[in-house]
Amino acid sequence: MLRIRTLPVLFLVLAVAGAGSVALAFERGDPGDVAVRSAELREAPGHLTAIRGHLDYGTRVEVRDRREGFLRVRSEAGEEGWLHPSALSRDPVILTGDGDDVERDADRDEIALAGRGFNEEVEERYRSERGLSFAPVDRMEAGGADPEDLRAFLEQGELHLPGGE
Amino acid sequence: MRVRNGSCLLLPVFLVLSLALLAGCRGVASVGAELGTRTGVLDARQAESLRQTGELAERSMEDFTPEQEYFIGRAVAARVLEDYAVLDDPAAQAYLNNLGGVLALHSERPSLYQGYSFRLLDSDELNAFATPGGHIFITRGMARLAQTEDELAAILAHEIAHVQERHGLQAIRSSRVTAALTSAALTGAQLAGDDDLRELTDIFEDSIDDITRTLFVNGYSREFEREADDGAVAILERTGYRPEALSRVLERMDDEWDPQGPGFARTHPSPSSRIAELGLEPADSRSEARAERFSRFRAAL
Repeated sequence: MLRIRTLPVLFLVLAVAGAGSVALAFERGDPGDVAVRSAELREAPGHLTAIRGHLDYGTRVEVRDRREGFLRVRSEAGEEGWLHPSALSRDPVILTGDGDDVERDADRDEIALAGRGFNEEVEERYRSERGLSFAPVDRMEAGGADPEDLRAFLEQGELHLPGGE
Repeated sequence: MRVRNGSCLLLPVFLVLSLALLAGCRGVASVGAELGTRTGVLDARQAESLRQTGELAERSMEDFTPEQEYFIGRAVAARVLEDYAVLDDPAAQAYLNNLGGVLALHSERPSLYQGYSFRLLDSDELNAFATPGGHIFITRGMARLAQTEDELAAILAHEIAHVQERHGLQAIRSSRVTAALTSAALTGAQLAGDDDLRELTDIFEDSIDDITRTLFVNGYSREFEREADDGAVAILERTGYRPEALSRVLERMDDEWDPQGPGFARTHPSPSSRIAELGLEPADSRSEARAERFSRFRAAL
């Protein structure tokens, strides 16, 4: 059982725990990693502005500018454009798939810790053990709305265009 | 799930960490170890164990990557779609995807690993779900409650807010502290063999079970539901919908409220209490621009 002399630590730890943590906004010059499967790099701030390219998950970028809730970023390969901060992670993104890119970013323990290594391989095993079909999920994900449809939907409904537009 | 770490040295440490982790603060274990050493409560070995254990456990709690979040979400979505059929109406599904899509653009987290996707389920039950991966479901019965596009938007915005606040993942966090402290990750196992994949899959399955149990049976905490309602109001306002539509559709849910029945009544606080906490007088949308397309959608239900 918990000994009496451990109680001061318990008290101190809980006291410190109350402090919590605060997420800070990206500033010019900050590094960040792409946190979505394929980030759309846009010509101008906004969710529905023209797309000039894509960045893969885990790509390291530097923040070059901030405007209207969006960030202008530049990758190490020189690709540049605007994206929303929610597409970027301040913490290094550790890849969990197979291949050299994984070894580049982390040793195996880190990969396991980053998210318990949940990836396609784990999904496949889970699927086969449970006899569960992911085909309806694939169809659901493939049926997402087109950006032009979203713009038309907003305009027709007399709704607001998202920030930057 | 197998338990590899059987050290009884960590019992007091475990209790300290469990409480600290529930408080959700990174670095607490390290601070606790330092303080414990300074005060003579812990010797050097115990302090190091606390520090290492804390670092591992805190990381596993806090550091689900967006990719992991997505794979967890996909599995939860597969479980939902195992139990519910999708309504076979492409026009209604497209309308729902457009409505959900514009709301997501106005959320605080418009970019997800794979983006948001929406499905209308062919069920009379009153229910709606969201997975950590951005898969959002609403039953035909729940959609039929909405009398205007603004009210339907309010239901979807509530689900988007659950995703935005990462409530699904926190269902794992709050119920799996013990598993986090005894996982393969804690022991630093090399994840190379079939046993390791099996262990990971077991942890994965347990995590999915935690979330689905929360979605289908236990529900989120009252605090999370309040956060989701507050988030929904902000999303509705930013998109241009009337936030009072949330109170209006909650009023309609209240009329159907049956805590003994299936669906949202089992997993949500009473609609009347949510209306009281929102503090927004129910009001109807006056938009004619949205009325026609909504009536087309509603005819499909």
